[in-house]
Amino acid sequence: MTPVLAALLLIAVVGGPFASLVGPFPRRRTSIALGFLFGCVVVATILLSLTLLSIRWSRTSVLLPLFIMLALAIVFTHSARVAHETPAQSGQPAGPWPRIFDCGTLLVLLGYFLYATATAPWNWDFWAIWGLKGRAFWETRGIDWSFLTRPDNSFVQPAYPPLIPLLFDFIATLAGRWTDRYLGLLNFAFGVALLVIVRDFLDEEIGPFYAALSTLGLTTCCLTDWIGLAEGGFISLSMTGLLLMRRALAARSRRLLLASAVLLGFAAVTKQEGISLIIATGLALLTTPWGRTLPVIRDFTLSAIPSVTWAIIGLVHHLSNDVFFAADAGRRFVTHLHHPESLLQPMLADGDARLSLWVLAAVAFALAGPRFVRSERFLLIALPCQVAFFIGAYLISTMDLAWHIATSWGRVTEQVNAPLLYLACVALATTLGQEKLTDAGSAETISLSDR
Amino acid sequence: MATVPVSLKLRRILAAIVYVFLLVGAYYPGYLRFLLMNHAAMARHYEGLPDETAPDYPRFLDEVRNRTPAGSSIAIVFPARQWDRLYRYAYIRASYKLAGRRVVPLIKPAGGKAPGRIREADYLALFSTRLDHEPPPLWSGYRGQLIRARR
Repeated sequence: MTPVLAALLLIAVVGGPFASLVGPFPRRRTSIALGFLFGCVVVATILLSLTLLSIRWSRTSVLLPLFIMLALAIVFTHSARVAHETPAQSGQPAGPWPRIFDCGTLLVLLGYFLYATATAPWNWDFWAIWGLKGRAFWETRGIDWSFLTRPDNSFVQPAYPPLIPLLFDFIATLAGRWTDRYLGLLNFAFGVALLVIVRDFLDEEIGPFYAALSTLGLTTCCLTDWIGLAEGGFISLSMTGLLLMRRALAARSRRLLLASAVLLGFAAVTKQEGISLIIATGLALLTTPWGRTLPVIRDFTLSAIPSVTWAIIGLVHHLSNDVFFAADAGRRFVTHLHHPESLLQPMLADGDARLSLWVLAAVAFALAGPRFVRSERFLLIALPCQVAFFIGAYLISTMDLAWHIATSWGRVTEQVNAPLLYLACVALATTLGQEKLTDAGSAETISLSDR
Repeated sequence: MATVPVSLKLRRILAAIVYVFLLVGAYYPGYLRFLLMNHAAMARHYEGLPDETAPDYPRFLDEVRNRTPAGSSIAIVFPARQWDRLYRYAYIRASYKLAGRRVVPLIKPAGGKAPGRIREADYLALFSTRLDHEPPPLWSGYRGQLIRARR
């Protein structure tokens, strides 16, 4: 377990200076959590760059650029840091309840830790895709293009984004050997990072009582069952990216916008759904006045760089992606559209998708009123757009539709459930904390309003 | 569309009800259960999940890995007639356990056997099956044998 913990700690340290550009935050733990996510970005970039430069991964070849980057980041962030005051913690009297709710969250996290580290990741997709790639790359100390392009290995989905296998390889590089026993700790770290960010961002918006209670309720939405797969990393990177974008819009902050673009960009090299999330985010951004300004559009475009780079690399190395992009996608789209029941039945039958939560969230937004809905239109447009992309992907899937939906719908809806329920909690807490009815019939006290 | 005036009090009551349902609905108590479970039994359960159909197979592959050099090619002989049944599991499991070696399938994913591909292999890994006129194994155990291929 020690090498994995050391690798995770190093990742958080490396990302620290980048997180400090996003902050400051009332609590140091928020910066550490963000630092972990940015550290994953840095580590994956270094490993990919070394492969492109034909340099074999070793402790020296990986750690040297890592420490150089850390030193440069410290110097740069020190000089670039804007002199802003650390925002005060929520001024509401806390009382004992937030601590009690937080203890509940910690107990769930402890249970998740036991689950994630019970044994080596056991899911089929770990040893057929994510873990297999990591192990195959580790054997050659770099991304093994010949492994990815062998026709016998098409089952590994060669063009899938590489961030998670690269993080496995970072751990193996530090350990000096491939060991999958404690790779579940990576899922745990992603979950903890996201929960810390959710808890602290909610605290700033709705106060400690509702923040602690909402975080307890959202805990299991932020922790994925899929140990060893890319879901945990994707949910953490994408949700944090969305929450930072929401704050960027509220504060009209290009600093937060850039941070969000980086995280969303690397979410797209964690899972393919990240590409559609960038498009959905871009569309939602365009519905806000600030989001339509040229500098914002230009900065947000940076989020496409990681996935475009990976796509170009994939084209150069002839990596195939036969799930969606086969030649007769148009015909499949039309065929499936003519039989909507083949799509809707398995989607509605999948209890894991927890679609009832979407209905409750809709009621929460209705209760918060039109002003809240208008002010939160960014997430309220981005998330349904992302769901529409999921459905579009099913419509052109080359796989058996019922099987494809049964094996993925519950999993991909997890990606939108967490940010949707976050917003629903903000809506409900705002309504509950409302002291008088406004003429617009909506909440008066929205921390992140006036967009 | 006509708007129905709703008093703030009623709206707050509704919000409280929705909040409770939302938090309870979003909450999955499964992870708390793990705190009370026997951890050794839990580890055994999850460890065995991928190989329920062939519990000895991963240990057999580990031994094959220990006895074959990196870069060698190994054909997987497994008691399965179709790709979609057991052979898919056998081939993909071997690809993970034998990473760094080239794993050669003897059944085509599209269907049908590919016995001719045995010529691509340096070694044959036979699990729970035997070949006619097979040479003496380099090693045998866990219901399997490792044989050097005749090329």
